[in-house]
Amino acid sequence: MELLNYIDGEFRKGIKVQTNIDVLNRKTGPKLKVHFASHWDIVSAIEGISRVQSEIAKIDEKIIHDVLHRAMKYYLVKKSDYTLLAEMTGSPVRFTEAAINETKEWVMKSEEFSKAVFGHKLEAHHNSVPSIGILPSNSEQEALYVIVQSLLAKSAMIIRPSSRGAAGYSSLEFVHAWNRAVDEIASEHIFLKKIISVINISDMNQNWGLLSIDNWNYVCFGSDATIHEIKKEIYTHAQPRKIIAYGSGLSMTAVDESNETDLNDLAYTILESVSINRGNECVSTDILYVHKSLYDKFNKILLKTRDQFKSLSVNDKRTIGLTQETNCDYILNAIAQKGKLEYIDFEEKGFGNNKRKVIHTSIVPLTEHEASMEYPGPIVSMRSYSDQEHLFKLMRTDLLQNNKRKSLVCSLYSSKEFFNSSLASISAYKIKHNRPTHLMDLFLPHQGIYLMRQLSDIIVLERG
Amino acid sequence: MEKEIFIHDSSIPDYDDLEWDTMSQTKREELALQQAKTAALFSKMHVPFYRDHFKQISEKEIESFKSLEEFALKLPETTKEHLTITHPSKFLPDLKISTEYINKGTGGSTGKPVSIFYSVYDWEAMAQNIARSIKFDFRDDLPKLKGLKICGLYHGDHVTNGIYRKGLHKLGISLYGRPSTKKRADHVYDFIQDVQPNGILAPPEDMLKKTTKGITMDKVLVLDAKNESAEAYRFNNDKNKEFCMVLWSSLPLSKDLYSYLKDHLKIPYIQGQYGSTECAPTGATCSHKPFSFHLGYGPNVVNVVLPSKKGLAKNGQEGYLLVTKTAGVVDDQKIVPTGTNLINFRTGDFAIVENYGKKCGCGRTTPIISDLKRREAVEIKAEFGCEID
Repeated sequence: MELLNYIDGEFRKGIKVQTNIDVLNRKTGPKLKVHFASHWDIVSAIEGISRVQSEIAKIDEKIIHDVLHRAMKYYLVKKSDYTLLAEMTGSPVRFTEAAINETKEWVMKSEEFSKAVFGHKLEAHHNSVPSIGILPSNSEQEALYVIVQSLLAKSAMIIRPSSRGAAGYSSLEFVHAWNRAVDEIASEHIFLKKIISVINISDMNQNWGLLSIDNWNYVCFGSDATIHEIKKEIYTHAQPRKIIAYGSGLSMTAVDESNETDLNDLAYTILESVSINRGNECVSTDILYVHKSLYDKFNKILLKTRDQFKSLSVNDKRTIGLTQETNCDYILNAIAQKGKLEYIDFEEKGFGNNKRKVIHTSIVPLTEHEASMEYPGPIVSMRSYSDQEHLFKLMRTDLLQNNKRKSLVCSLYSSKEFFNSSLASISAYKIKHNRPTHLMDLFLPHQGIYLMRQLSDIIVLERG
Repeated sequence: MEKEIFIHDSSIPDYDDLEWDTMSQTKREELALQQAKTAALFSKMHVPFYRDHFKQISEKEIESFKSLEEFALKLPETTKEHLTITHPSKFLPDLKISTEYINKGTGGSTGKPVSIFYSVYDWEAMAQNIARSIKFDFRDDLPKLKGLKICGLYHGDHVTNGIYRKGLHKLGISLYGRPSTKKRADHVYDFIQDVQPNGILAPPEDMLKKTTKGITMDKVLVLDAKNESAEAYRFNNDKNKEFCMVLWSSLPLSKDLYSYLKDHLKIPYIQGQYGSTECAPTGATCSHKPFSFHLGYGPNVVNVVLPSKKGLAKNGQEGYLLVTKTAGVVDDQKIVPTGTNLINFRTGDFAIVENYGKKCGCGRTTPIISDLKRREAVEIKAEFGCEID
C-alpha cells in the first residue's frame, strides 16, 4: 500500500520511501510504503492551503455538513481497512472497527455537534486561519476527529501523520471519501478538494522553520515532553494563532469505601479502562486509588480478573491489543528501574514464525512515597488511601510528579455525597461518577476544549 | 587610438540580434573566432597583463588561428589566480578613452577580492545579450512584454541587478529594484506586495549548502506560500494570472524548485542566466532545457575544453569553460574593448556540451552547456550567489 502525499488536490510521490511493516514485524504481513515529501512539496502544501483558506471561509456551512455526511458512506468501510489498521498499530480489530464507526456516527450528527459548540445565542463565529494537524502514531481515530472539526471550523488544514503509517492511511482514506462526495454533491465547489493536504515528513526537526507560520493554528498530540518540544520549536520560528495540544491523559480512578458497585463487576470495568486499546489511550486509567478498607480484597479480585485482559493477536476477540515493541522495552526498562518487574505480566510469545515481547494487563502497587507514571501500555499503578483528604493529596502529588496541572479523566466509584464533596478538590478536565474513564463521548469537550471552537474566531453579540 | 589595427567586420550582428541564436554553428564559430582574435590582438597590444601574458605568442600566430579550438588551446589561459595576484588596472587597456566605468567585485571570502571594471559599452553589450535571450522566447509576441513590471530582489549594487535593469528596459519591461533599506526577506516581500509585479528576478539558494544568507528566491516564495490573507498578491498563476515570470541567475535552480515554480505555481515563463562577475551573462535556459544553458555568443565567446586539452568538447563530452570577452565600443566600424579584458578566462566551471550543430526544441541552434559543475571556484561562486546583501 502506497501512502502518497496529497497536496493542492493532487497525489504526489515522495523523494524518499520508507516501508513500514506490521506490529508483529512479519515479512509476509501488510506493508505501508510512506512517501516522504520534499522541501518544495511542503512549501506547495502550505501555499495551496493558504490560497484556499479565503475560499473555504465563504462557503455555506451546510455544504460542508452535507459533503461530510456523504463522505462517511465511503470512509473506511471495508473490513480489510480495520484489519490493516489494527495490524499496523496493534489495536484490536474489534476496537478499531468500533472506534471508527463511533467517530463516523458522530460525523453523521455534525450539525448537532456544531450546534452544541457554536449554538449560543449571544455568539457568532466565523472562519479562522489555516491549521496544521500533527497526528499521533498510535491511533486511527484522531485523523477523522481532527479533520472534521477543522473543516467545520472552516480552517483549511495540512495533516502531518506519523511516519508509522496508520494515521496517514486514515487521512488519505478520508481524502478519497471526501473527494468522491465533493464530486457527487458539490462539484460546483471543486476547491473543496484542496482544503486538506496530507504530507509525510520524515524529519520534523529539519522542517520546523518551514512549518511554523505566524497566525496559523496547530493541533498536536503526544506525551507532555513531545508537546513541550513542539511548542518550543513553533514559538522559536513564529507567533502562531493557537497551539491546541492533546497531551497524554494521566487518567485516574478512585474506589471509595462508600462504593456500592459489586467489586467483581467493578474490577472488570476498571481493567477494561486500564487496558483499552493496549492501555495506550489518553482515557485509559493510569492510576487506581483504593480505600484502605477495600485495598487487599480488591487487589485479589483484580489479580484474578486480569487474566481476561491478555495481549493476544489483534484479530483475537479477547485481545487487549499488542503494545508496540519499542513501548514494551520502554515499559519494562522503566519498571525494572523501580524494582517492580515482578508485578508485570509479560512474556516472549510466538506469532507465526516470529517471537516478540508482549505485556499483559498488570497492576503495580505503589507505597505512599513511590512515584507514579503514565506507561504507554496496559499498566496501572495502584495506591491505598485512608480518607478523602489523603486521596486528594495523593492525586495532587501524582499530578505534580507527572508535570500535570490536571488529569484528563477522573472516575470516582463512591456514594453521591463523596462524589459531590470531591468536585472542588480534584483537578481533572472531566470527573465521572460511577462510570469508567475510557468511555468517551465525542459530543463533549476533550481535554476541556472543543477543538472546533478553538480553531474558530468567536464573536460576542449584543443585539439592540 | 590606433584605428588601423582593429578593423571590425560589419557582418557581425548586434548583440540583441536574434540571428545569433539561429545561424548555423559554422557561421557562428567563424564570427566568434573573428571576435576572439580581435580581442586577443587588442589585449596583447594594449592591456598590460596580456602584453606580458601573451609575449610568447606573436600577433601573426594569433591572426593565423583557423578555429576556436586553436584559439582555446594555443593561447595561454587566464586563471582566477591571475586576477587575484595582478593589480586590476593591469587588465584595463592603456588607451586614453573617455568612458564611464562600473566596478564590480567578488566577495573576497575565499581570498583577495577580485575587482572587475565594466565600461558603459560593456554594460550595454551585456544588456543587449540579456534582452536577446528573453526576446527570442517571445519573438512571436513581443508586445506581450511591454509594460511588464519585474521586482528585482538583488541589491542595487549587484551586477545582475544593473544588467537586467538595462536589458529588460530594452524590451519595455520595468525593473523595480528593491529599496536598499529593505534588507530582510519579509520587508522585501512587503515591497513585492506594494508593487504587485508580473514577476521577480531573484537568486535561488545554494542547493548544496542551503545557504540562508541574503534575500533569496526561496525565502520570498516561502513567504508567499505562508500568506493566507485573502488580499494577498499571490505568485500562483491560477490566482493571479498577471504574475507570469520568474528570472534567476547566480546559482543553479534545483529541479524541485523548478517544479514548484512550473507545476505548482504554474508560472508560464521561467528563465535563468549562467554567468559570473568576471564575464557576466554567458548563457540562458530555455523552456526545453530549463537546467541547461544555451551559449549566448555576442559579447563573449565560450569554449569548452576537454580536460586532456586535446580539443574542444562536443556533444556529450565534458570540459572546462574558457570565456573570452569580446564586447567593446563599436566606433567608426572599429571595436575597442574598454573594460577589464579577459581572454581565455578559466571560470573554474565544468559542463557537458549538448546540442552542438543541432536545433533545440525552442528554436535556438546554439550549443548547450549542461550538468554545470562549479568545481574549481565553487566556494567563490557560492559566495557570489549569496553576496546579495
